[in-house]
Amino acid sequence: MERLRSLIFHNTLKRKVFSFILVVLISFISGYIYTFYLTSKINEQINQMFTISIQLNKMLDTMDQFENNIENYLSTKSSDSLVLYLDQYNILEETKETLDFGNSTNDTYLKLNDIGLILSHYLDLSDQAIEYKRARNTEKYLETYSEIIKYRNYIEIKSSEIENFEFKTNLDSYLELTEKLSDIQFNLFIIVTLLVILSFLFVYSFTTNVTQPIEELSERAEAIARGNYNIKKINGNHFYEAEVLKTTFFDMTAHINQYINELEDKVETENKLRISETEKLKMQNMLRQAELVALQSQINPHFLFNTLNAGLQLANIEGADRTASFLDDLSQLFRYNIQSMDNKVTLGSEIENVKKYYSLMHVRFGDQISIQFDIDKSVIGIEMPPLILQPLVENSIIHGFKNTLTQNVVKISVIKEGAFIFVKLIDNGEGIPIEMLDAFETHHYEASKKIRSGHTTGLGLNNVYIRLKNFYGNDDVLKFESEVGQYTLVTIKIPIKETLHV
Amino acid sequence: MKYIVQAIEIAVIILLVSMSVFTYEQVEQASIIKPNEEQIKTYHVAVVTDTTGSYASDQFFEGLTLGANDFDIVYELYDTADYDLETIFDIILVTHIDGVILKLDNNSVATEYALECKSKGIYIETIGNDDLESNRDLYIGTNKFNTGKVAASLVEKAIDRQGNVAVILGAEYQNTPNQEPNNFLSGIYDTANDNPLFNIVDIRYSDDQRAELIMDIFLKEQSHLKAVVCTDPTDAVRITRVLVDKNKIGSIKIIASGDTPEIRESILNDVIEASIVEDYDELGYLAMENLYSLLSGNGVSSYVSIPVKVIDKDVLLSPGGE
Repeated sequence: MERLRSLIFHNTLKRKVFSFILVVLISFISGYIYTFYLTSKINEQINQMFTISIQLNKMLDTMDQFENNIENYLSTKSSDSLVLYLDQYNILEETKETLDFGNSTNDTYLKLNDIGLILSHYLDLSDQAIEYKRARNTEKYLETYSEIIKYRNYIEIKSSEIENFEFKTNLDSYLELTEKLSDIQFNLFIIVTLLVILSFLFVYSFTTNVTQPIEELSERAEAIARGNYNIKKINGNHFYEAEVLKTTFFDMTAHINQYINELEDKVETENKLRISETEKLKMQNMLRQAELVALQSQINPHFLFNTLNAGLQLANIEGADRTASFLDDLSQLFRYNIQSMDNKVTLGSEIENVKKYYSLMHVRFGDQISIQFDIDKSVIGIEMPPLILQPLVENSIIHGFKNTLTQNVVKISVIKEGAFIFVKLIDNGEGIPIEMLDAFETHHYEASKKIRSGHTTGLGLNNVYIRLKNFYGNDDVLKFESEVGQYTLVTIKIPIKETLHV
Repeated sequence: MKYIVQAIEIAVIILLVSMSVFTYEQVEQASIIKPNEEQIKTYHVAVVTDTTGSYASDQFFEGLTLGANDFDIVYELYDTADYDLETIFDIILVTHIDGVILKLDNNSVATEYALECKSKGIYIETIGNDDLESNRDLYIGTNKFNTGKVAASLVEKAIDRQGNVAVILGAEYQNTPNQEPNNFLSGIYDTANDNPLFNIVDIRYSDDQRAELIMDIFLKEQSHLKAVVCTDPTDAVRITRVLVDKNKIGSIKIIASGDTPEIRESILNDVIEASIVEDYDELGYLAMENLYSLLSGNGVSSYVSIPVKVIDKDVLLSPGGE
């Protein structure tokens, strides 16, 4: 029952095949019934041409036997003949009833009606003849028998009139029919041909309908096999099984695609992680290098601090205030310099450290070097890695002013612009050669190592850049601009929001 | 592609249905047994005749058929050429015939049977010639004597009242030995008797010979023939062909009978002088109409005369003449 319901209400392949066979079958059966009906109709019409003749001949045959039996009875008075006579009488009575067409305007029916009336008289005469025989009136029964034969002849006359008339009428129609029969046969041939064409079209539609979704699915499967997961949907409404296949196929494809995407994401994340690990290792390596450098310079920090403090106390005892101040600054600078590179400091600490450095350099160089500050106090609390500004100032003093005779000025300014803080160091030194500036442009600071000297903290520009980049997670954090003989401008670009994460 | 196939499918189905309907109609039209449009009428009439196939009889039967269709009658035709009168009347007496129309050359030959019919309540109507002995209930026809007189007067006019005249009697007249002149001939003779210059030189029957042969005989035997009277339109047309062949048009005048297109054309071409028109069609119709009145119990006159008219070139050329 469920199967039947499914067959009727769902557009299943089974229903499709069933409907298709049914349609083709009905088409052919209709065509067959139609042609059978037409040929039967023609056949029936041809048969009808003889119906009346057959009926009349049958009647005349019965009349022959009827007359024989009368004659037998009249001559021998045989009871068998009388029984047969009565049987045939009844048959002729029935025939007479069938010939009652009234005063019809149809010539054939009118003549048949005449035959019926003559037959009635004929039967009445036969009754009379029998009666006369029973009454032993020989003359009368012989006379009546002659009358019977006479009226039988009249029936034959009327019958032949009908047959002649029917023959003439039917012959014309028959000739007309045979003439048209070839046209009708041709039409039937066309009808059968059209049925065959229609069936071919149905077969084509059906096979296309059934195979199309499967073909399209196989095309898409091939595309997937080639690694193309961006396949188009199959449009159109198909039978139930094809729809199930379609839905399942596309769901499966979507799942595979999603899985592949997830895998790719994972690989990418792992790659990033690997890069990040490498970077971290690099940074740690650099830190270790920096620490090594620092350690080299702190071979014995207690000895240095104790010595400096001893010097400071001596200066205080002797009343040498400037020396005491110098040693104090130096001590603080050392303390700042030997801190861990992993520490976080504020921009303010960095500027204070530069100021300490400057006071020491001022004792050494006097007014030949001047460092000017233009600081936006609102941003000095921003975090950054330690020992960033001092190496840059050292670079200006050691390299920028190496061959200059004029007063050397380094101007440090801190400006907030939008989401960034710009720390700018500009000097009026001899500038950076163009080839080195090009290397700096792509953050290749290794060239600066060649000119490293013992006058600095030992932290190269590359170290400064790497630490800034890793601290802020941004490549575009350090920028050099310069014109040989004119100036050098170093800009540190600090994103405000990034510092919050750090 | 899908829609193209669907469009072709629809087109094929439409073609298939059209072809089926068309073929069905073709079979219906070619049907041997035509749709029966029969009616059952109240009265059954037998027409007994000895003349079929002539212009006059064809026209008469057309009128008779029209009358039967208009009134509640069916009729059967009994031709004495096929059956003898005894057979015909034996059949009539047992086939519930209500009336008999006798259209015989001499209706008196059926008097005995007519009497028997009357005794069985069957009405008798005679057409064409009136024989009171036939005991008929009704007579319908033209007065043949008057028709003969009209023919004679037309001949007189055509031949300027003097000359030899021949007569060809059509199929409705039969040549029996020792017979008395029929009413038509009597009418012609009546006029001829009053005019000594008007001579009836020959009388022949187209029932015996074709009219062309009769005309040939006239031309051979009657060198002074001035006019020929024909009672049958077919005969009249046939003799005009002979006259045309012999270049005798105009020298022998033809007085025809009937109103066929050929007769009219011949009159307009001056081949035929004039034609006497007996309305046989009307005769047939009136025969049926009056018999119906009689059968349905309405009184009718026992003598109905159909007048004759004459058509000549003047009549045909007059307004409404064509």
